Amino acid sequence: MDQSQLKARIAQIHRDLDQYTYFELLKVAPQSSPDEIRGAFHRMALSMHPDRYATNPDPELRRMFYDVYKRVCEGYRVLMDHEQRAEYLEALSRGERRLVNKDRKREGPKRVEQAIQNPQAKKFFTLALAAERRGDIKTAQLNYKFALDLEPDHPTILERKEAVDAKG
Amino acid sequence: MSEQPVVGIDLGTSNTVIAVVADNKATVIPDRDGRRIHPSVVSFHPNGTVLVGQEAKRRRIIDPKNTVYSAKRLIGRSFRAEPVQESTKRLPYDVVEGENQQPVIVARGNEYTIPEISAFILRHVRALAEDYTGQKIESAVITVPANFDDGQREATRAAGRIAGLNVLRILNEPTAAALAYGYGRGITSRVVIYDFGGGTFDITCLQLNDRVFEVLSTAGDTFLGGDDIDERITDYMVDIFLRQTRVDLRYNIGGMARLRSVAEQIKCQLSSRPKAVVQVQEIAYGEGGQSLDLGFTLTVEALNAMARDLVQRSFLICDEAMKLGNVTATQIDDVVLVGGSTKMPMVREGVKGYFGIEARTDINPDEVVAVGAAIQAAALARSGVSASAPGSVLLDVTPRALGMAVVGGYADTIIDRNQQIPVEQSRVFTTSQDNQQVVRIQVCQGESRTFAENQALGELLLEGLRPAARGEVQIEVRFEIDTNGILQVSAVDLETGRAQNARVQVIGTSSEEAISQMAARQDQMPAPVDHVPDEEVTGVHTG
Repeated sequence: MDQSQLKARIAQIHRDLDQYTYFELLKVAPQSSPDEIRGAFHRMALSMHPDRYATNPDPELRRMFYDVYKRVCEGYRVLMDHEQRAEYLEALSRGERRLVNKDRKREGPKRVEQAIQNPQAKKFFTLALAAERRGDIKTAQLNYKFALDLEPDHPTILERKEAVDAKG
Repeated sequence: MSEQPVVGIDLGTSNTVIAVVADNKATVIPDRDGRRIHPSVVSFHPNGTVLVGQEAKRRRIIDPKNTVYSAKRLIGRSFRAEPVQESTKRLPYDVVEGENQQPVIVARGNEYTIPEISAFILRHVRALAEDYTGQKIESAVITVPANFDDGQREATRAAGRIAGLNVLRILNEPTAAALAYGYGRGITSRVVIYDFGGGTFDITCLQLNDRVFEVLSTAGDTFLGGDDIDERITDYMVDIFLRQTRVDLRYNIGGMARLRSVAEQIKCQLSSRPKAVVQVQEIAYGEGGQSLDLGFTLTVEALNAMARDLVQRSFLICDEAMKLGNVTATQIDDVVLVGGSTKMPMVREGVKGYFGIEARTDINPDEVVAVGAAIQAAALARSGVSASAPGSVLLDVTPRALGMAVVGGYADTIIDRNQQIPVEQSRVFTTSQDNQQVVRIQVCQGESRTFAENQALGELLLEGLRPAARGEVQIEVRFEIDTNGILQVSAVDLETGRAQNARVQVIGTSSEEAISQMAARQDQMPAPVDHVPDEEVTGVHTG
C-alpha cells in the first residue's frame, strides 16, 4: 500500500469513527468471548498502532491513526470488563455507540477542590489533619480555626472543621 | 529515512547499559576495557573533570561528597517527598531544594539538577556508542521502571534532551525486557518479567502473541531494591564494629562509604559462595590514634535472614500484579529475571516457589532491558508507510491511577490504573464556592481515595467562570495519556466553551525553558570521561 492509499483508508475510518459500535470497530461478533476480543485487538494493533507510523512524514495521517487506535483501545477496555460490557450493551440499546466515563452511573457531579492559597493556612490545615489522625481533637479544632481565619470560606477546611466540632 | 544508528539505553539506579541494533541484531556496547555495564555514578574531580562509570564509582570512597550515585532515586520527585527525605539522609553528597521543589545536588560549589546528573551518564554512554559504531548517535529510547510516575518520566526525558539526544520513547523496562525475550520468535505465551534492580522493584505480566506484546498488568515499588539489601549489610557491619571497638561509624562519611561498597561486594560474593570472610582495614582510628579494622564472616543464611522481608515484599507486589491482570501464578509460562538483585539465590528460590517454575537462565539480567530498548528504537526509526512492515508492537498500560482533587480532601480517579494507552477519559465537575471565577484543578497519581496520600503532580487553572452559586457552573475535565505515557489535562467551562489545555507543570520537574538552558549549559561543559586524563599516563588500566 502506498502513502495515498494508506491515507485514504485511515481517513475514511477516521471520518466514520463515531458511527461504529465497538464490535464493528474491533470486527468481532457481539457474543464474542474475551479471548476472541483480545485476538481481534491484537490484529488491530498490528495495523493501527501509532508506533507503526512513528516516522511517517504526514502529521495528519499520524494523528488519524492515533485517534482511531485510541478508540480501538476504548472498545477493548469496555468489552473486556464484565461490568462495563453490560453497561455498554444497555447504552447500545439506547442507540449510543460509545460508553463514556461522564455518562457512567455516578452520584452526580462532584465539586472541584480548591487548593489552599495561603501558605500559612495550608500549614495549619496540615497540622490539623495530622492531629485529627492522632485523635487529638482539640489541637485539630484549633488548627482548623487558624487555617480558616487565614483562608475564610474554604470548603474543605470548613467541612473538616464542622466534622471535628461535631466529634468534640 | 536516515541510516543513522539509534540506541537503547537502560539508565539504571546502579548501572547503565547501552545497546544498538545493527544488521538486525542487537548488540550491547562495551567500553574500551570491555565492560558492558557502566556504573551510574558521576564524580566531580578537583581538577574540573567530570568522571562517569567505574572510575567515578571508585571515588565514592575517596571523595564521597562530590560523587553522585543512585540519583535515579531522586529523579522527577519533590525534594519534600518522604522517600526523598529518607534517601537524602543516607546519601553522603549534599542535596538541597531547588526551583519547583526539585532536589538539587551541590558538588564542588556548583548546583546540578538530577536530570543534569543523568545527562552526564547519557553523554558518556552515547560517546561509547559513537566510538563503537563510528557514526553519530542522535536518537535513543530510554527505559524507566514501569511504575515511574509522570514527573519521573518527564525528568528522564529532560535528561535525554539535556544530553542532546532526541528521545524517541520513554519505554518501560519490563516491556523492553519482554521484547528482548520474545522478539522474532513468533511465540504465544504468558510471561512475567520480575525486575529486582538496584533501587526499584517491578513486576509485569505480558501476553505474547506472535508480534504483539500486550502488558496485562504491572505493579512495583520505586523504593525497593538491591541498595536496600546493601544498607542492611552496612547496618550489620556498623553494629559489629560498634560492639568490637565501641566506635560508631554512622557519623563517619568516608567510613560509611567504604562499608557500603564492601556491603555490595559481600552481597555479590554470596550469590556464588556459601560464606564470605570479610576483612576491612583501617576503617577508623581509636582514641590513641591506632587504626581499627573490621573482621567477620557472613554466611548466606545470615544474609538471607537480613534480606528476607525485602524479598518477601516483592512477592506481595507480585500478588497485586496477578490480581490486576486477572491471572494466577500457575498460568504463567515463563519468568524472565531482570536486574542485579535477581542473581541472589534467595531471590531465585523465591521466584521458583511463587510461580512453580524455574526462571529463565539463558537471559542476561543486566543487559536484557537495553537490548529490548534498542530493538524498539530500531522499530520506531524504521516505521513509516507500510502497515504490513515486519516488527512488533508493544501495548502498554497506565501504571497508576490518575485523578484530581474534589471537595473534602478526596481524590476522584479519572483514569484507572492498568488501562491500555492511549486513553482519554473525561468527567463533569462543578464549582465549590459561590461566585467562584477561577477553578484550580489539582492533578494526582495514585490509587488512594485521599488526595494527600497520592502523588501530587501539578495543577491547571481555568479562569473566567460566570458568577453563580456553588455547584451551578459545570466544568468538564479531560485527561489523556498518549502512547508516550505523557499526560495532558484540559478543562472546559461547559456553558461558555472556554477551555484550558495544558501540559501540567509537574512538581519536581523543570520548565521547558529551564531544560533548554540546562542543555546549553551541558553543551558548554567538557565531555564526561571515564578516566582522569593525567592519571591515565601512569594508570593501571589495560586497554
